[in-house]
Amino acid sequence: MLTAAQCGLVACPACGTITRLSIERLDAPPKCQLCFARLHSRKPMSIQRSWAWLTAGILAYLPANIFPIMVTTVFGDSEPNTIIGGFFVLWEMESYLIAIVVFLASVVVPVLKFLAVSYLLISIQRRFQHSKYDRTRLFRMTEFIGRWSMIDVFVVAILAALVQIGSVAQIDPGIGATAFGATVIFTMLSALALDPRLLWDDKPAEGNRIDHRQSVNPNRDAQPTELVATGQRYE
Amino acid sequence: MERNSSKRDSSGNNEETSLDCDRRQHIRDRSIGTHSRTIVESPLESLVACHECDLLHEKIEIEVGSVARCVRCDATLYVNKKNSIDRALAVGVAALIMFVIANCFPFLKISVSGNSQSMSIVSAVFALSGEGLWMLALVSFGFILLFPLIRMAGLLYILLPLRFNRRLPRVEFVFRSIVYLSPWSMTEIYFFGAIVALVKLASMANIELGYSFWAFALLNILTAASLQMIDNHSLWEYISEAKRRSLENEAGEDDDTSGNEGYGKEEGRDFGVTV
Ligand SMILES: [Zn+2]
Ligand SMILES: [Zn+2]
Repeated sequence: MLTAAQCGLVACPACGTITRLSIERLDAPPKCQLCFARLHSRKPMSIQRSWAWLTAGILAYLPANIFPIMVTTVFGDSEPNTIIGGFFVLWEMESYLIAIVVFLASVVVPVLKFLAVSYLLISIQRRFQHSKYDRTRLFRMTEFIGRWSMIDVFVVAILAALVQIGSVAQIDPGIGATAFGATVIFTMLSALALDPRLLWDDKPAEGNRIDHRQSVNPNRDAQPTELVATGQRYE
Repeated sequence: MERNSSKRDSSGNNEETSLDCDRRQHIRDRSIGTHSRTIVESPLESLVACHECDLLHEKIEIEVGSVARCVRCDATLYVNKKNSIDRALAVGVAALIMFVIANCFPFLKISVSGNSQSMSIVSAVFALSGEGLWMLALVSFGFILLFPLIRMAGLLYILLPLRFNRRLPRVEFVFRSIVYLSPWSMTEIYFFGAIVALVKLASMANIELGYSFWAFALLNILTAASLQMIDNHSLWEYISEAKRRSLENEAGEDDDTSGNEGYGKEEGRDFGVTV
């Protein structure tokens, strides 16, 4: 099994084209020759950036739960709604399906995402060797599902735009919505910063410079690769 | 599993350390598999690295509609989508039209005891523009309107000239924008948000769905279809295929009169993606 990094190659993150890294370009960040995207064997500072965004996300999650995400005014009576409160209201209205969707999007998904990304980051830093496959799947799930939490913000925005009926009823967005939106965006950025290829690396390979040097002296003792053998050529 | 050691090895070594960035350099001296100990001598174009675990694979021809997956982590490496560029373009244009319609008509209309109020898709953005919320309004504008629009327009910018055998400048930049913006385009999430809002209000008020609502629903279906037809990789295949052909044409025209003939032949060709 050989990775591109072990062969001194790097795949373009945008178009997938494989390029050979060279020492002459050690100082300038290499670019894909076809689509000009920046090439990194591993995302630079992946762990640090991912931790930073994750911390920001967790910090923003506290005000998101404390402050109201919207304020409902019915016939002059104002009532602030928090995230959890919105779930209970829906539950009492007996729209269980929607209540569960809201609960998943606003509580379960963000919290699970905090836990999952933390676990992945710790597993990379501690160089866990087990269950790499399962951890990759966990990463894929986190990446896919995280953005759906944004649904809460959109619900608030739509309600606030729609329910502006003079003296009868009015819904205004609250500062909690900003905090919650920040949580979602920060955790998305955290997952984007996390490079899943680090899960599979035996040695920590971070940043461009180290990879360049590796590319000059590719690891000759690496296990022979197990490529899909076909003999067919790409023309 | 045994490495081939011979002169070839040392020459390969030299080549790898010779430091030029020639894309046509070969990876030598890697025995492949446990059974077949043939030497991999594949040009870089025939290799693909898994974007999730970095494992190198040799590209193989796969059937139309099938998916090549990483042997180690199961990630999708590439898909063979043999769609004609015309179909992709049709879906793209339809999606853009739906986008315009969805933004020209009211989205939802509420009426409670004689009073009524309607909203359009953009109203949700404006509703967030209060104190301490303008930043959220700004990013929501990007997620709901700007980024999806960039994706649709960018797709047409790339595909339309390809259809007519032309090339516009900065196609690569447009392609990269599409790739990097794709996780931030959230029309489908907004749509489900609207459904949640509907359910919340359904018991208290009378709600009508506007034209925009249906156009927006269609837009999401078309976007999904378009993503199904051309993912980022196959989009790049279109572009590079066109590049290759234009290079061939130039070479052909330089060569002889046969250039014209070749050009005519190319025109009738389908833009099938064969990876
Ligand atoms: Zn590229
Ligand atoms: Zn893989």
